[in-house]
This record gives sequence, C-alpha cells and structure tokens, in this order.
Amino acid sequence: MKKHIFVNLRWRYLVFVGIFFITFSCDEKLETQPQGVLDPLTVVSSAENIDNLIIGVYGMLNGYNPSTGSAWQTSVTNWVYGDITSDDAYKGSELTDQGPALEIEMFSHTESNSYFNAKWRALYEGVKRSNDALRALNNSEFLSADAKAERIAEVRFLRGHFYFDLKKIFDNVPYLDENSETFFVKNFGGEELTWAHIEADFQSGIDNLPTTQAQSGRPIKAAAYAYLGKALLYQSKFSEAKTAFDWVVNSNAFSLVSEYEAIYDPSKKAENTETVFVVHHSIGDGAAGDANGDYGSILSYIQGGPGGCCGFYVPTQDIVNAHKTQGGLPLLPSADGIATHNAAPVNSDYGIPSDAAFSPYTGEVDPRLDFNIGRRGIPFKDWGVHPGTDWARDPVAQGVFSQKKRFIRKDQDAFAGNGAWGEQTTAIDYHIIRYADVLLMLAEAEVEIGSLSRATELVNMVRERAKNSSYIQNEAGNANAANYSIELYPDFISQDIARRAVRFERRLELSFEGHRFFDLVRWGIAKARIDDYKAFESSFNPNGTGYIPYISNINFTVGKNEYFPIPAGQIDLSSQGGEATLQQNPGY
Amino acid sequence: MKKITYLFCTFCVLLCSSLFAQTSVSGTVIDQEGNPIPGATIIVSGTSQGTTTDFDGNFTLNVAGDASLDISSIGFQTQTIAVNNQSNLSIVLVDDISELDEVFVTGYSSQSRKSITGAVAIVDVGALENLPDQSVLNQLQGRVTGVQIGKSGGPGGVPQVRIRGYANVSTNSNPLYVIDGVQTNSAEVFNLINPSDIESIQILKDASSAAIYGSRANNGVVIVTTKKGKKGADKVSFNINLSSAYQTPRKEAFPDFITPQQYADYLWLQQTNAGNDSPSHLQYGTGSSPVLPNYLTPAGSSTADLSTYALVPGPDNNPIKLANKQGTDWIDEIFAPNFLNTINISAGKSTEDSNFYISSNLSSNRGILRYTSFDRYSLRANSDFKVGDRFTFGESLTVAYSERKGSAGNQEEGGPINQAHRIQPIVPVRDVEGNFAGTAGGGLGNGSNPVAALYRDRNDIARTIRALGNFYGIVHFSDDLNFKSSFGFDYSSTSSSDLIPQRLEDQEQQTTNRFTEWNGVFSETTFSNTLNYSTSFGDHTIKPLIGIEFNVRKNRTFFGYRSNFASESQDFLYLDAGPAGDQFNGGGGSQVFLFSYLSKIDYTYKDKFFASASARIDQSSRYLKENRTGVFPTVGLAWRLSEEQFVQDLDIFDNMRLRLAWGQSGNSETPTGYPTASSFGLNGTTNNYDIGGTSSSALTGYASSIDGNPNLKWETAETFDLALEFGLLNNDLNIEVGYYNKISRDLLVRLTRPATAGLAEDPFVNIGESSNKGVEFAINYNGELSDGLGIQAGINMSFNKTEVTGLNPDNADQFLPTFDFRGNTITRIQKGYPISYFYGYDVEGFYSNQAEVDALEQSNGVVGGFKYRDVDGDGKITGDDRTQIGSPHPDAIYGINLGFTYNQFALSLFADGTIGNEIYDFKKYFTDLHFFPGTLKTSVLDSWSPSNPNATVPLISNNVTGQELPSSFYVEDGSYLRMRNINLSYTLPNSVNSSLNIAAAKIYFQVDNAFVITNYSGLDPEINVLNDPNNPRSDQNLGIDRGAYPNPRSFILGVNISLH
Repeated sequence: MKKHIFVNLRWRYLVFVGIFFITFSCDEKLETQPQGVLDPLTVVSSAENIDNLIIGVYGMLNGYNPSTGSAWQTSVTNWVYGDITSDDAYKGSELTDQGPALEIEMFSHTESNSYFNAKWRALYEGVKRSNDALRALNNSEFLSADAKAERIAEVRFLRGHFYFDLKKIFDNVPYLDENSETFFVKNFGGEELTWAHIEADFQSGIDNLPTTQAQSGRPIKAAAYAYLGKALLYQSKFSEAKTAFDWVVNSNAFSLVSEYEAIYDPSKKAENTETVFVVHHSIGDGAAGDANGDYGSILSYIQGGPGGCCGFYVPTQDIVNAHKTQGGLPLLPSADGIATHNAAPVNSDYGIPSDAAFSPYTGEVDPRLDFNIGRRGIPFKDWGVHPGTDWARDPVAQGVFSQKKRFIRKDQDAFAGNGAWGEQTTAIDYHIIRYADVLLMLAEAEVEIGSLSRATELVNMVRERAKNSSYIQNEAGNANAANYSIELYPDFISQDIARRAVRFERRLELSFEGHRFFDLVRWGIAKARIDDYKAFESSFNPNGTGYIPYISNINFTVGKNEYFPIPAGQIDLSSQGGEATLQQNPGY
Repeated sequence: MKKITYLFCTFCVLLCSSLFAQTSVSGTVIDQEGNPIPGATIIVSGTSQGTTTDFDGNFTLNVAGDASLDISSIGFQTQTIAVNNQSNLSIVLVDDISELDEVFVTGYSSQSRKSITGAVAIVDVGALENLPDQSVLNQLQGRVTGVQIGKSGGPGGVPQVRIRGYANVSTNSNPLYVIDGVQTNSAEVFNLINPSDIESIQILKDASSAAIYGSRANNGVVIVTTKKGKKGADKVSFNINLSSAYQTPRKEAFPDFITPQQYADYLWLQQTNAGNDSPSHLQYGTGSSPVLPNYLTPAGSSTADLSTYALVPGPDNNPIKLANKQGTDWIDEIFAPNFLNTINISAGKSTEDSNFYISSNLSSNRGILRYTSFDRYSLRANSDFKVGDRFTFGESLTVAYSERKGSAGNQEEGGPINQAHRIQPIVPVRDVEGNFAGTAGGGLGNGSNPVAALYRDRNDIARTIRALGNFYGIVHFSDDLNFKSSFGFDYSSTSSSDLIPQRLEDQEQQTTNRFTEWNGVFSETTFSNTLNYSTSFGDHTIKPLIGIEFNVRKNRTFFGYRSNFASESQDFLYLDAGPAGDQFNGGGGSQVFLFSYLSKIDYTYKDKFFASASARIDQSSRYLKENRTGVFPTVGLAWRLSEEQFVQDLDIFDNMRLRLAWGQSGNSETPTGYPTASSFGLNGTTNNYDIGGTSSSALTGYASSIDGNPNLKWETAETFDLALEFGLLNNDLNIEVGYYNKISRDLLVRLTRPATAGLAEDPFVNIGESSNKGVEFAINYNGELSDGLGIQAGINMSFNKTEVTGLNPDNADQFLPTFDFRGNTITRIQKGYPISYFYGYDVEGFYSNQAEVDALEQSNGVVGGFKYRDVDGDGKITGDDRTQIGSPHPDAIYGINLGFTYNQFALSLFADGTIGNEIYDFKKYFTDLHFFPGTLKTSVLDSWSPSNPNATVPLISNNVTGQELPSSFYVEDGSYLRMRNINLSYTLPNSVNSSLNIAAAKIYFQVDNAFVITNYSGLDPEINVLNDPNNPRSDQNLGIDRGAYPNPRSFILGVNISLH
C-alpha cells in the first residue's frame, strides 16, 4: 500500500520537474539588444538622421574630445603648434606647468610628447567622422542627387580642413577616405596624404556647395575657393592661388567688418561678414561643462585676473615691439627676416611690481597692439587697467603681457559658461579663415606674381579697417590709451619690400590666431626669424633684471622642426606583420 | 535546446525508476551535540542495500528484524547497530576528528575534503573571526595558497581578489563569488556581509573544481556559506560580540620632505645651474640667496596689513597667510587616528523540523584619512523548514544599508593623498583668519590643500541598500533522489551625492561649485534547478547531478547636476536649490542573460579512489547565435595512497593523497553587455554643434561610439592541476604540495587600433593567450607540546609566473598601451612578458659630460640628466630603447601563522608577505623631480653635480627637461613582510561562566599591522590597483602608486559572550 502511494507521488513530481525544464525557452532573451544607443542601421535610416551624422562631423571641429586628451592639446586654435612655437607667444604659466608644451616651444620635444598624440587623434577622429558620413551619404536613398552632391561637398570640405591641419602640423600622414578598407595606411611610399587629396576635397566644395547657406557654420562655395587658395599658397602655386582668391573677392560674399574688435565679439556673430569659415562656439547648450565653448582656450585666461586661471599663452616682447610704427608704418624686417623693430623696445614692466611706478611706452604704435595684447597701464577690455605683474602668473619666468583675443568683456558674462576649474569657456568663435586672411593671402600671391600695386591695395584694405576702428581709450575714456599711429602704405617700390610688408602685415593682423609658425615655415624663414627673436630676448634686460631665462634654450633645427614628429604611440600601434606602417618624420 | 531538455527528462525517469522501497525501520542519526546528520549512509550489514539520511538526519529502511546496520558519515566514526525488531532507532555518531572528512560546498553539492579532486582551498574562518575589517576579503591575503588580495584602501573600499595570478588583459580577472548559492562577480558585496555571519569559505582555484559554475568561473570561485542555527540544548543560543579598534597611521613609514629653507635653496640651485646668476622668485626675493618671507600673501612680504584681509583675492586684498617656515607636514595633516567599532548580535536555534539564525551587525569605521568613514547596518535571517516528509523550504537573506562618506582619496591623481605629495611645505594649513590656506599668491605651485579637500568632501556620501538572498525548496522523491529549485537574488540600489566645492585659496581656483546626484540600481537573479541522486553498490558510490540555471543581470543608472550653489552647507545641497543654468543629466543601462545546463558525477571506490567529472553548457546573450554556446568539461581523480598496503607498511603517513585534475572554463565578462554590436552615440559634448552661431544652442550630432565584433566567441581557460598531500604524526602535521598550469586561450582582447580608426571604442577580438604556472606549498602543524600547551604553526607559499604567451598572431610587436600618466603609459601588455609589466627607459646613471651626451645622440640628453641604456645598441637613445623595467607580479606570496594555547589563554600570530614584485612609484614625478612645482622629498638634496656624480636625482636646473619620462628611476622593490595580526585571548573558565550565568565568554586584545619590513619608500607596499577594482582597466594598472591609502595599524579590544 505504502509503496503504491509513493510510486504515484513520484510520477506526479516528475511531471512537475519536467515542466520546469521544458518551459525554459530562452532564445528570445538571449537575443537582447544594446540598450540606449543607436544601431548603425538607424543612423542611416532617414535624411534627418544622416544630417545628424554630418553635425557629428562638425562636432569635432573645435578639436575637443575627452578621449584624445586635454582640450588645450587639441584645440582648433593651434595656440600650441602655431603660436608659442613662433616669435609671437610664450607657453606661459609656471615654467614646469604643462612641461610638454614648454618642450614644444623650445623644440626639445620628442616623438613621445603627449600633445602630438592627442592632436593627431583628434584630427583623425574628424577624418573618420567625415568618412563615416560620406559612406552614409553615398548609400543614402533619401536625398535627391543634387542634395546628395551638396551634402557630400560639405562633408568633404570638412575633411579637407582636418587634412589641411594634419598636413601643416605633421606633413607626412596617412590618407584614408570613405573607400579605405584598412586603418593601417602608410605615411610614406604612395599611401600618404598629398596636397592633391586636399585640393580635391575643396574642389568638391567649389563644384557643389551653394553660394549661400541658411546656417552660418556651413561652408559656401566661396569658402571652398578660399581654402583651396590657401592650399595652393602652401605649395607656392601663386597664380593658381590668385585665381582662387580672386574668385572669393569677386564673389562679394564677404567683407571686412568695420571695427577690428568686433571680429571676435560673440555678441556680433550674426553681422560678422568677415567670416569665411568659422568654428562656432556655444555655451549653455546642454553639453556637460560647456565643452562646446572655446574649451581649448581655458588655460589662457589671466591668473589672478580676468578668467582666474591659468596664465598660459603669453605675448612676447618681440611681438609687442613689432607694433611700433614710424609715421604710421611698421618697422619692416630685413630681407632675411632680421627684425629692425627690436632696436628700441617698447618699455616693459618686467621685474616691476604692480605697486611700483611704471610709465607706459609713449612712442607710436599700431592700434592693433592694444586690441590684441594686454599690457600694463592700458585698459584691458572692460576689466580695468592692466596692472602688469599682478596679472602674470609667474612674471619672472613667463613675462608680463596677456593675450586678449580669446577674452570676453566683463559685461558679456552671458557668453561665458563653466570650465573644469574656475575659468570659464566662452562662446567666442575661432575663425579658421576670415576675409582679412584671404586678402592678405591674395596679396602674397600678387607679390610673388609681381602685381605690386594690387598687393598694396589689398594690404591697405586691411590696414584701413584697423586705422578706422575705434581705438582703445584711456581709463577716463577721454583720449586714446596710447600713441596710436597707423597709415596706409604708398605703392610698394619693389617686390622685396612688398613681400616683407605683406608678411609683416599678416603677423600684425592675424596675431594669436594660430597661424604664425606655419607661415614662417612655408616662407622658409622659420630658423632665421626664431634665432633672431631668441637672440633679442636672450639679451633683453628691461629693468636690470635680465629677461625670461629659458628663451636662450630655444633651438630650432632646420630640416627637422618645420614639422612635428609622428606620435610615437601611433607608430607603435601601426605595426602590421611586424612592420610599422607609419614612419617617423625626418630628423626625429 | 529542446532536444537537450528531453534528454534530461529521460535521465530523470531512469534515475527515478530504479527506486523500490520495502518494509521500513525509521530512525534519526545525530551527532554528539544532538545535531542531525544529513547524508549519513546506512547500509544493511553484509549487503549492498542501504540508504542515506535526509536533511534532518532521518532515514527509513526496509530490513529484516534481526539485521544489523552500518551507519557511516563523513567526519564521524562508523558504527554498527543491531535492529532488534525496533521500528524507531536513535543513533548517535561519534566525531571522527580527522579534517579529511569535513564536508564542504564545492558547487551545487557538498563533498568531504578527502574526496575533492580539484584545487579547493578551505579558509580557516575561525582564524578570521575577530579581525578588524568590514570586508572579509581584506583578510584573505596570505591565509591560503594561490590567493592574492589587492587591499582596497580606506573605509568601504573594495579589495581586488585574484586567484592564481592574472589571466586577462582587457577584462578583469575577478573571480565569481557564490554566497549561499547567489552568484556575483562584484567583490563589493562583501562590504555588506557581516564577517561574523560567515560559516565557511571555500576557494575553487582550478577549472576542474570551478567549471561547474561555467562561464564566469574562469578566474576561480569563492564560495561563502553563512551560519545556520546550531542544534544544542533546547534553548536559543545567543551571542554578542563587541570590538573596538583604535586605528593609527603607520607614521614611521611616511617619507621625509624638505624644509621651506631647503626648498628655497633648491629653487636657487635650479636657476643658478641654468646660468642665471641673479635668481629671483616671487616669494623668496632676488639676489644671491633666497630669503624666506613672513607672508605668502601678499607674496614675499615681511609685513601684512591684516585689515586688507579678504577671502577672495583682489588688487588690494588678500587671503593673508603666514609662511610656515618650519614646514607643514602635509602627510601628517591628513592622517589621524580613529576608531572602527563593531557590534554583532546573533541568535540561532535548530529543532526537528526547523532551523533559524538571525543576526544584526552595526559597524562603524572612521578611517585614518580624515573625514572618511564607512558605516554599515545589516540584518541576516537564515531559516529552513521541513514540511511533511518530502518537502524542505528555506531561505537565506541579508539586507544591509551602508554609508560611505568622504573623499576616497585612494590612488587618485589630484586626490588628497596625492596632493599631500604635491603641495609645498611653506604653505600653512590655514590662513590668518583661520580659513583654509592654499597656493594662491604666486610661486607656490598648483597643488591644493588636501586637508581642505577632505573637509569639504566630508559630506560626499554613497548610500547603498543591498538585499542578497536565496529562497529554495527541495523535493525529496526518495532518500536518494531530490530535486532542488532555488531562486537567488542580489539587488542593490546606490545613491550618491557629490559636491565639487568652491576652492578660492589656490593658484588654480575653482570658482564655481557643482553638486551631483547619482543613482544606480543593479540586480542579478539566478534561478537554478538541480536533480541530485546518490547510490551505492558494493564498494562503489556514485552521485550524479543535473540541472539548469538562468541568470539575469540588469542595471540602470542616472545622474544629474547643477552648479553655482549659493551655499555649500549640507542643508542646502539638493538639486532644487541650485540655479538652473549649468545643469546636466544622463543615464544608461544594460542587461545580460545567461542560460546554462549543468551536470556532474562523483564516484567513490572504497574510500580510497575518487573521481569526478562535470560538464556545463552556457549560452550567453553577449554573443551572437553562432558563437553563443560554450561547453566546459572537467575531470578529476584522487587516490588515497595511505589506504594502500604499501604505504601503510611504511608506517609514516597517516594520510597520503594524490590528486590530479583537468578542466576547461570560460569567460565572457566584457565590460559592455553587447560586445558584438556596433553603435552610435549621442554625446552633447563631442557630437553636438552650434551650426547656426547662436552661441547658446547646439544641434544634435551622431558619431560612431562603439565598434563591435560580431564574430566574438568564448574565451577559454584550460587548467591542469596536480597535488600531493601528506598527513604525519597522527595527522598533526599536514603538508600539501601542488602544481598547476593554466592556459587561457582566445582571450577577449580590446585591441587598440591606430588613431586612423577613430575614437569609437575598439572592438574586442579573440586573440591572445596567457599562461599562469605555479607551485603551491603549505605545511601545518597542530599538536600539543606538553600538557596543556597546544601549538599550531603553519606556513604557506605560492609561486606563480604569469605571462602573455600571445597577443596578435598578425603582429608580433602588438601591445596594449594602458593608462595615461601625464602623457605616458607606464605599463604594457605584450607577448613574452608578464601582464602589465612596467615599460620605460632603463636609467644607467647620469651623463657626466657633453661628450657622453653627444656619443649617445639623445635628443633631450643633457649633462647631469639621466643616461638611459641603449637597449637596441644603435648608438642613439630613442623610443626604441624603452624596455621592461619591472613587474608588479610577485614571484611568491606567503603567509606564516603561529598559535599557542595554554589553559584559558591563546596567542596567535600571523604574518604575510610578497617576494619579488616591483612598485612604480608615480608620486616621484612630483616629489623627486623638479619638473613639477610641488613639494619635494629629501632625496632631492642628493642631486647630480660634477662633484656628486653618483647622485639620486638629476642635476637641478631649469635647463634640464624631459627627465620625467617613465623610467626605472620610479621603480622600487615592492617585497614586504607584514606582521598582520597578533592576538591574545582569554576564555573564561566554566566555573566563572556558570556563576555569571552565561554559556561562554572570551576577551581578546589584538594588534593589527604591527610592523612592516620593506624597502619600499612609499606609505605602504600594498598598492591597490585603481579606486574601482571592477573597472576593466584595473588589471592594466597594477602596482602603480599614485597615492595609495595606507593600511592603518590597529589596537583592538573585543569581547564575545554566548548565552543560552
């Protein structure tokens, strides 16, 4: 009897157990999808989504992406690669703060310097995003042929920009486009980026971009001509460059704004007719830490003064002196680049505390000096009179001036967001190309071709705007803050003088816009000019205190320092089958 | 899958139909204390007929009235009893003291020690009982062979547990934790488990023992079983433990820093060596020698007008601070003695048909780093109920709430411990008004006041509530066959509040504050069903087990912040109180599913030959269908040679056992739940763009964020394990020697691609192979020296060699670069080297003249600077000359214990250590080199000069740059011997107990971390990896000291009282 019950029970339980096993059908669960992200098919599933992909390409324009490194290493402004390497600026801050940047300034950097890897990665992310967008556009069925061609041209323009930066900074770099099948591409031996690649991207813009755009951040046809002209100028193809720049000028798409200081005024973006191609910075747009602002400049505010931190990117005595004028005209360098403007330097408060007496320079100066450079005794925008030493982080080691272009006015707090520390990112745009730049590049081309009067006319257009701008006023607001004097050039009497004048004008007009070092390199005078600047500043002794000691250690090597090294980390990662696909640049 | 399901059912049917019952005698088997003995074997003498007892020690058997029964159970002496026509027997088994017969959970079932065929370490939980730690994992270092603990540093920190070395390169090598059947890979769970609730800990070290847990067991399994009610007198047993630990920093290990005067002289040297004959400095004046100022703000002043004091510096105002000419010892300032107090109360009871254990724990740990603490309140309830003859139900449940407060400070560049190595000694802790002083004023570097940071972060808090438990039911179809269904869950919810405070006193100010609230919910459920069978015939016993398991892990997080709060008072810090300007929110989540079949069979022959085999089939949602299924087989054998005549004839060995095992296990634990899928992200910071030039709004942009690999498959580890055990002197002396070889193949590697691939996360690929080989050795003696004087002594030692044996077949030079330290990676993962070895230049000495510099063609070489070894011999120093400069892996880890008992007194000592590992002291970047304007150690006083060519640090000169590159200069020997515990206890004699009306009582005094013998110059040679050991990159950053939280020294007084 007992046995009987037990057997019955057993079978009942077995059914129960069986159900447990059989009801487990979990194939469906095991097919779970990624949560909270877009899959690649969704991204190309509508015209609107593809447009978002293109916005993503623009998203890399300002160079900032936390996974590459710090914003200042990769900033589109190129303040590290284009300005502190030149006679325009020191690294700033305390000597050892951002040591790798000091090495770059002194040209003692190695291929392991972290800045190069960060910059390289940020630029190639721009290239990668461009290629992703181009692939999506090529395969898209949502756009008309015309619309498609226009959007492709837009993305290729952006890719052209990223490649242009790679070319001028690193020279020998790998080229990948939307058809590339491998990431392992050589930077020598036929797979490298050539000027032809860059020209082709801008040519696509010329062929298919519209003459106007509803949104000012998108390039127009004339912008493509301007960038193509710049690419040609870098190759010394002067007549072809002239053709491109002439097209820009004749299109009347751009004009100089009347007030020099308005170029970088974030409240005047809408009426900035000088914008050829710009990086729009924005704050309060929902991005964490206002990182879509001018994040790359956050080290460049005044330590202990406006912005609060961190005292990097300090103007040199040499560029201050370069603003001296005689009869309203600059003191041009000799034909081989040796400055004449350093003979009687603008007096410096180096070594003088802010509470000790100091009289600012009373000689003639170009008004752009005080538009672009903060110096003791002159009102610094609406932040008050620049006190000199008190606003310098380490005045002994880094000098006493302040860069001014990346600053907002105090009353423009609405255009300032939040940064990582106390300093604030701003909505000040960065002009990759502005119209004055185009005019001066055209003037260069005209000089080389021999059209000196046209060159004079172009240079004078730029000078005239500076001349007619409202000058910086003294604290009381009743007179110019300094002895400003700027006049137009009479017709250039020789090609040599014209060349020196055009180049000098470029330095004055475009100071602190990240161009100077690259200009010196393409003019072939980097070594001569940097040695000249070093010689002057090493012996400069303004108040019996000597001057910034480390300048005597700047050492530019011809055949090497024209370009920066291919980052060691990238060479390491480029190995395929035991061979590095990337080779180091000459000299490193 | 269905096919397999049917097979299982068929198997069940076969098993079940072999059972037939007869007329019965019933009985109960209990131990000497009255506890029931489950699983005891009852055999009718002279036959193969028999049964085993159920959970409560009951059995029923059909026998003739004159039969005799042989009753045996592991751990007890076998007895024979005549039935004598009784229908109800009560049998008391006498303990067999042999440890060999202890029973342990080793994976869905229990085994005696002697029958275990794999490498299973059994932790002596008794020795851990009174140790002052909130997580039991922190105390495992040196306790068993093959287990290495990365101490967590700081209250509430999570230790890193590594079993038999490091095998993984892009995922972490976490073991699986199984707590009362609930699975998790998170060591954090031990923060919530009261160590005194733990009954036993087993560590499954090899694939043979661990593979039954399948794909998550590649790096071993830690099995924890919590206490149940003990059967005893007919009363509730009630225990109270109180302990208080006074924790102090080990000050003798703190480094010496230079004085402000020495610092100023150093600055002068830096300038004069660079050719500047008239050095100057904002604080120390101008001239041939520096002058210490009286005030730092205003910079370099001898006097200050106190009426101009202002917190926020202005043109004419200053947060005036006096120069601390004696020098502030910042390390001393941030560490202070504090208490760890613990109260445990538990009660338990076991009856015929039920069993319960409840406990509550209150534990409060104030860390030695100021303003850091971890408090825990936990409640545990374990119970079992028997319903009728055939059902058992039960649960184990713990619910705990914890609060972790303050800045973690551990291993964080810019964290307070790191900052204490960066801020200059002349800066005082507070300014003249008593506010925190900082580096504002000029020339004081860009450090920040670590005391201020700790104070301001004192209300940063992470609150976690976690419930962990398991409900189960067992159906006993017969005495030999049961079905168990178990539902385990681990649910935790953490909410944290974090203030980035305003910081105005520093050179680099933080002018805006930011307050973030973060919330995360994590859940893991494991539903498993197993069918257990056991049968004996003749000298053979087999125990098969089959089962299925379904595991689901989900998480969901969100956070939000606002900035510019008007007040930083804790009363004010709620998101609503912040202005709506700079605000942000985000969140995400993932889910992972795992479905498994498991099977195992144990075989025993005559108590001398043991075999086991298991197979597990796992299907993971991380993989696509084609690669989803992983099969993990194992086999193990054990042979008790001491049961063989030829060994017994030797008359030396009381036990001798040989075991060998082989097995495979798997791994799929990629940090992302979807490693096969590529995806695009929306990221306002990096993708959005203000294309219209509005200055205040941006359009949404997409960009590729993760590149997946659809072909990804299981990573597999194959382990071979061989061990020999000896017992001598009546098993008072036990020796165990083992060898293992673990090879991990198809490693889940996140290969870094060149930048041309963009910034999307690199895909995982199954390339790479790693090997861990080792020898483990343990010797233990437990005996009586003379009357009443007991001695217990032991030493264990584990040698392990870890090596990456393959990384990329297409590229012999492939390596994984790891964490970025100020622009350089310090460790590398590369074929032919240990995982995460230190990589950099090998410093041979210093360049003594220009000719030496020129001869080597080093681009930044300089006289007085480091001379690196020309590794490739090409006459140039380039990046190619970087090489292995150390390994974070010890050659050996060991533990030594010694204990004495004499009457009521017991003394125990325990020490542990490592041999042969190196530490990369990244802090030297700040404290030993002059490229960072921070504080400096006294080692800089021994700098290079022509007259001091054998210096410690390079020439101190502004002209010397580039010396900070990763090099052997940073690397030190990390070997240590730590006197971990000294414990003296006194147990009250029974006479006193009865007069106090208590059951038992013990008081003890203990010194923890009494001393450390090491050559390492940092705060503590036990370097934790990263703050978060669950970070998949933590294994890529081993042995790097960025400011690791040092272990405190503790003096502990405690009392345990048991009542009946």
